[in-house]
Amino acid sequence: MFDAMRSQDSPYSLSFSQDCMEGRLAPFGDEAVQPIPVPSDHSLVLVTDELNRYVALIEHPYGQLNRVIAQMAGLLILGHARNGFSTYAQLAKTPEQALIETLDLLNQLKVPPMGLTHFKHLSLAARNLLDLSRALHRNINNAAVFKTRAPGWLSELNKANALLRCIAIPHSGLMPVDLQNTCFCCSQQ
Amino acid sequence: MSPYSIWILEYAHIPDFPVSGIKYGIHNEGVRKLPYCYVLIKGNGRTIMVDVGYNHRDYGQALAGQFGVTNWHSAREVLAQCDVTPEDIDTVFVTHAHFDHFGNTDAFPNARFYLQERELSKWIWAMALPDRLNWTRTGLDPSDILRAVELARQGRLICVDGEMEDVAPGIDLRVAFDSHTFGCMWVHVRNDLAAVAHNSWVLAGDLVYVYDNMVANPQIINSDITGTLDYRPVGLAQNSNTNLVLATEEMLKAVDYEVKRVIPVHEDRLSEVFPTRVTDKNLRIMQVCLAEGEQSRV
Repeated sequence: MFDAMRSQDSPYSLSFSQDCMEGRLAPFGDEAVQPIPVPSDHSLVLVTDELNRYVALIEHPYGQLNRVIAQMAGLLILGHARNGFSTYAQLAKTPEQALIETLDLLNQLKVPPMGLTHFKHLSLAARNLLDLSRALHRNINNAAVFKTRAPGWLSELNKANALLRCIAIPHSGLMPVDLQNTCFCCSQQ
Repeated sequence: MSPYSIWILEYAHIPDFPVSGIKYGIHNEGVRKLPYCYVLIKGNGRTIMVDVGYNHRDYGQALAGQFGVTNWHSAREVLAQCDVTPEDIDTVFVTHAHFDHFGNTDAFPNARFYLQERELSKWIWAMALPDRLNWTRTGLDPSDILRAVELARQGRLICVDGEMEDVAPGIDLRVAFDSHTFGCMWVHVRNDLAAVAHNSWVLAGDLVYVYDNMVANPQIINSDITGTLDYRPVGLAQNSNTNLVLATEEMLKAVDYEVKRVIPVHEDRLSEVFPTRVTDKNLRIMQVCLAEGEQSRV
């Protein structure tokens, strides 16, 4: 049925959702879907509440990061085809500005202890994207540089995407993370 | 002699789509079936598609779930009904970037994709707007754009700036900017290759969903559509309804106002107008026209 399914190790095997765009968390892939145990005692209920609070805190920056990735991908196409400058100049907010805002927001959040590891993961993705957005900004009017550097930039975008996908699981999102620019589920691919 | 054969290929459908989503402003009229189709054009040594549908996984699956899409089948399965493989497709005209038209580019490894640059640039613009303007991004899948980067890198994405004549012999790309989406286009197949064609077809993308968007109470009699021309926009205009209506006028003008020659790919009654075969997967293959020497698939 799925002749065109993207392979799991493809850089494009990433989940986005309407929810991402609306600032909520993305649905998760089949491989990550786990039934959520129904809490049967008080302590578990507290944990779930804490998790829900954490998800509420990060859902806006999470959606923003997804949008910025797609936006930078579009700029890569335009820059590669001709010149992305006129489109870039008309943006209400450049990717760099959006990412600085997002990082500011992340830095202001009071993250519950159970969310710390996950939060570091999210922040790493944002910082990596910020570096990339600055490279785009410097070269937006230079099609030759775009053509040369597009493969590397695309690779960086996909890495950031992979990071986001790993934490796109609303209820079991606080998975084991190793911060070597990847996490448990990425490293399994 | 007609150089091109044209088939409309159903790959999924929504059983109960609100009529108000099909025709603007028509409320409390219930629901109807909304097929999801793409178009195959073959001839003159070319194998071309208009739009590519979506891939029923990841965000495509999430969006399809939102809209209630069922009976999805892969491009390989569907094209096989016309003895074509995805690898055979050399050209794709993307009428607009909504997920159900642009969401399956990976399936066509040898195709060059034509997309209006405005569709891309305005989409990037919309992504930069504040959250409260989320509606401007309706129906767009960010991952489709990521895949398009790879197409661009491979030299397989052609960003078209406006109208383009004879993109293939006898085939023109025409624009309907700021209508259903920012950079919509439609495809005019002049199947007699004449500059002023008398045998031509318009592949409308989503500028019209059904015959009701062109004709008031259309009746289909002996494979022909009868009724009074009375344009009614589709239920979703991310931009201007007026521009949608004006695009409808342009499309009909291109075929001398012969409604049958404007193909609305979400129309359930196409099978009453064109010779049709229903596959064992309950998908419909509709044959619009056959080039000389081409075998019928219905």
